[in-house]
Amino acid sequence: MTDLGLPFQRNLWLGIGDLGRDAARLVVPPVAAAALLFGGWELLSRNGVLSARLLPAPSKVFETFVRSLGVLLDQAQPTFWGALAGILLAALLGIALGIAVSYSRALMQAVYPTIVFFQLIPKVALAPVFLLWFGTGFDANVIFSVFIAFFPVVVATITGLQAAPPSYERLCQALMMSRFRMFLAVKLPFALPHIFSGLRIGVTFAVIGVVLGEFITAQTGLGYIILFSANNFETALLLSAILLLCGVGMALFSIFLALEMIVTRFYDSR
Amino acid sequence: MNANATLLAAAEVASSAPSPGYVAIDQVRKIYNAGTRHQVEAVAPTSFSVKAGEFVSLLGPSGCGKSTLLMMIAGLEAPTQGSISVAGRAMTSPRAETGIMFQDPTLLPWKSALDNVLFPFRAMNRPVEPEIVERASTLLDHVGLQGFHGHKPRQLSGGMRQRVAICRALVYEPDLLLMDEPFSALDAITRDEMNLVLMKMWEEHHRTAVFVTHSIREAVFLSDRVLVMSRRPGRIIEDVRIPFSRPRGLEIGETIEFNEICGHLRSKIEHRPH
Amino acid sequence: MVSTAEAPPAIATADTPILERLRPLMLPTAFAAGVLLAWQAVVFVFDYPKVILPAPSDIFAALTGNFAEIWQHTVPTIRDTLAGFVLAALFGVGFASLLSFSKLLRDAIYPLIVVIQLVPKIAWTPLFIVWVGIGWQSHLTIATFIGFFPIFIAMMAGLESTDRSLVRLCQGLTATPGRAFWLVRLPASMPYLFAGLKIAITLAVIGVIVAEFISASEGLGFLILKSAALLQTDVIFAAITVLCVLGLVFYGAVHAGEIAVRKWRGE
Repeated sequence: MTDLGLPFQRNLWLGIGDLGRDAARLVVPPVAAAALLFGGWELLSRNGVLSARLLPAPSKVFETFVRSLGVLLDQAQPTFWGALAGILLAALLGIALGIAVSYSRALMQAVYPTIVFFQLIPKVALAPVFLLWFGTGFDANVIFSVFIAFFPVVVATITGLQAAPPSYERLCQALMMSRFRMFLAVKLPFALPHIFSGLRIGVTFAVIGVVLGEFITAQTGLGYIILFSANNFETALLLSAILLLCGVGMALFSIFLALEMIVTRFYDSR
Repeated sequence: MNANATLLAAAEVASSAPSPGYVAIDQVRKIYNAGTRHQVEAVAPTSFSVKAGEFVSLLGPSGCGKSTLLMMIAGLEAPTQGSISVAGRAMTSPRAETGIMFQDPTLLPWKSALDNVLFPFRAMNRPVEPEIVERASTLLDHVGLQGFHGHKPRQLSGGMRQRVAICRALVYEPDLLLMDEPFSALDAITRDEMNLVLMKMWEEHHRTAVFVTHSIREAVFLSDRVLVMSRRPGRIIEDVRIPFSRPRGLEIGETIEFNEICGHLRSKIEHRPH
Repeated sequence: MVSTAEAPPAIATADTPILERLRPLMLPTAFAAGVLLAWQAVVFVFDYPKVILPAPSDIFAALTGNFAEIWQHTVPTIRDTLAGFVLAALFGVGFASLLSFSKLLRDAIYPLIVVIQLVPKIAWTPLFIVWVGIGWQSHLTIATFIGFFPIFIAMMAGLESTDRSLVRLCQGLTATPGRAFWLVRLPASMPYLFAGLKIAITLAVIGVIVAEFISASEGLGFLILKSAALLQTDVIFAAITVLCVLGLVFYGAVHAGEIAVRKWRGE
């Protein structure tokens, strides 16, 4: 009960020797399971149990992936940059609105239900409208991506800014801190884990936004490749494109994970 | 893992016929994460015994391994070395003859007080006969929860929840009652009340009891014997018989003898140097 | 955890003035009404063509004027969403329960599922259409697929986070793992399950709509895309309005279930 330590004081790093042991314990079972899965898949495909048209063998997918890497990487560019632009803008707008809403009771009461409303409705249904308004190019995809990635960030920011226990606020008031200093010293550190988890959700949404735009406009991007190969029953190419899209998703995800680590370390060392 | 220990224990029970006590702990040792950098010896080789019907407290500073020892007696953790037997049988897994209380009441939040008391029967898949419901109600009445049988844990105070937990530990009439700091989360006044309730229930039902605590006064008030444990790795460093007759009232806490015993025990507990 | 004295929850009581009690409801309603009015005014003042931005009155007219057609496309969307959601719940809860009995299985499979969870699953929609065909079957499968993950992960978290001492209590009482699961772990994970169900129901709607975007001859997603091609923006918005209502009703139903469970749990 008296433990009033700030967050971020997690003891993540175990001893190096045990790290190896723990890693082995954590990594071996899933890797074995994955190997079993892919091995079985390969075997069943080669024996013709799985139709090559519906589910080509992993080796075939890999071959296609390598062969089409040039085209795939080309098409990954608009998807990657579109999603990155989407999440960055969504983060900027979402965090700003979250802070504004948290500091105004009236704004909160007016805007928060609207935000919750947008969280609950299927926003993807609006994709065709965005394309109608902003054309069928890269910009429209980015704008739609901002639109759907924005909400998880706002909600996380608002939740996060309420996360500091009241005792801290009383402490700050007793120390006669200004509201701004209190924000920096207490509110923000408590909010950051929430904000970063909102950003992680936002990253996935931003990718979805761009891919969905590409599905509908069908001009460029990995979404286009996926749809194109599905229509032609080129399942190996389809799986290759999904694989690369996973790569895009992971790359964006790691950017934000790295950012989180840097910010966390910054607060840790103060 | 401890197949050897189990075998040894079984052999011992077979050979040394009249077992030394109802609960017999023989050279029990517990090491966590054996063989890694995080190896911790929680309990150093320890032996003691508890007679049938005796109330024994394990007293020691926090983190001294007393709870680990209790969990091993309950069969919830296996000793690294040594053996534990209860009623002449090696304790290798939990048995239905033991009742356990934890530091928190561990009630099911979605069940009423009465249903929580009846929980052991559901857990052990035994039929809940009307006389068992009757027994559970009587227990609740005896700990002062008349009129709260249908309340959910959220509607009860901390002390009331622990009263429900006492009833739950007694309802299936276990021979051995194991309690792991059951009142340490309560305030001092509630704690005194709970000690009285426990005392009353124990005197009525007269089970063998092992009680873990870090409160010296609580241990002296409740017990027939107090065993003092050292800092980690825990071992028994003092075995004190408490002479007060039963039934006891809170007023014995004011006597000189009581306070002398407490002083003696306090001198034995090793304090961490500052 | 140590129980602490709970502060009374900040709910309005009977003696709060009625105006004060309606305040949290009034402001957002006023705000929403204001937005609608402003929308109508902007369209009127700047004379936007209906193709670009239909006014709320146009949308309402489209909704009532084309109600039969809209309803005809609403039924398959509801059907596929609900069926997919129910299947996702069954698979998610079942699979998580199964894994909770074996640590090895859990260690082997859980990380794989977490990795798949990171992948934008909507992108898999065309794959399912290749596998299952372009009919309602694929729409339902996609809803099941994307609804499965949040339910599974929430249920795993719920089963894992069951109070350790409750689990110990069951062990001490010599309860079999099956009984401990049924009496303690399953009911204890209900709040987590509902958190997962709430995410899953919104995702299931999204999955069905995207599937209908890509390949369908029925459903609200199909209607939206068809109307976009015909530049009937008012019909798009009418269909979106229906989707919003659906989304809110579905979510509200899950939320009502959650409240019922909370009540049963005595909270």
